[in-house]
Amino acid sequence: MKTGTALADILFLICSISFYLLIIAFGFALATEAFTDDGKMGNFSPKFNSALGYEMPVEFKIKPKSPMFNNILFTDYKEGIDDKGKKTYATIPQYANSITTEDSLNFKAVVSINNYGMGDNFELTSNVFRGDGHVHIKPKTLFNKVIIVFRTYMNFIILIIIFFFLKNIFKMLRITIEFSQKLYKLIQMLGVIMISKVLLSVIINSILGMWLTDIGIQPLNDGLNYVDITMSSRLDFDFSLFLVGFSLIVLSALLKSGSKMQQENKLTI
Amino acid sequence: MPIIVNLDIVLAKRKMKSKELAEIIGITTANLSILKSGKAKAIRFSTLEAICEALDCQPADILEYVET
Repeated sequence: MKTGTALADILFLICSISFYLLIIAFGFALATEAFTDDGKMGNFSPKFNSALGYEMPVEFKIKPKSPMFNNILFTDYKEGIDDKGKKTYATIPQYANSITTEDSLNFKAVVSINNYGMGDNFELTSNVFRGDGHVHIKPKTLFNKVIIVFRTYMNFIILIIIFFFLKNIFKMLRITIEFSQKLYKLIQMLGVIMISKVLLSVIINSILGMWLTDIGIQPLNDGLNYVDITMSSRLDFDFSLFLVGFSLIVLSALLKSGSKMQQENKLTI
Repeated sequence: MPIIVNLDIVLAKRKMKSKELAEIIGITTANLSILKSGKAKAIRFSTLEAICEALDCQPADILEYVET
């Protein structure tokens, strides 16, 4: 008799659909890798392959050079100087005397981080914009190519395996919600796989990061060096997935105990 | 297992069938079969009480400890 819950039914459906979609996406990625030169099939292309490059996690930093003073962001106030670095008392607008090497005649290294939209509710106190993202890189050496291809496709395969296990777990639970040896073993294996995925990514990203030096964006004119944009590799340690993996292993120990108790209960007349 | 269930012997003495006993004490014949075969892990006092009442016997008539 079916005693599963509606939630288990929904989760089984979601995991099944995701599993089959991932298999199709994986097949598509392999096909573009093997059969195309430009990494595209018509208008479709995967996020990564040897032609398009592979994703590398990076951290962005956008930092404007320190302005002179009286800027919206910096509150080092100097009397007689407006927020654009100009002398307020001069009949012909003049910039205040330069105090940094970036300054030059008629140009001041002043950049304002605009926070007008915040109004009276908040005050912006950051002087650096940071963010996590990805860049695409193509490996040049055989060693790097092997590692990055292995990491990329192994992550994909592990993701498919995770959804395969989830599909099987919810398939069991939609029939009946009870302890069983198979259930706790599936959950334990799922936890181990999640932890392995995180550790594998970290190890390989740290190896690849050794050769990926900082990427910078600078203006071609040295005199206009008013903002630094840099990207550096990051380990991309998915702490949430790591924690979930460990939690599942602990949970599986609890389910094992429950399974044993249930089995004894069934044999108690 | 060191605890032997001698239910078959008592049933034979009382000339009662397993199915009949199962109906009287309110358990399934499958569970009664598990008890008779020695596969049971435990028996509830309520079940033991019901068996003794139905068969008019003592727990010692049904359960026997044998050293291994």
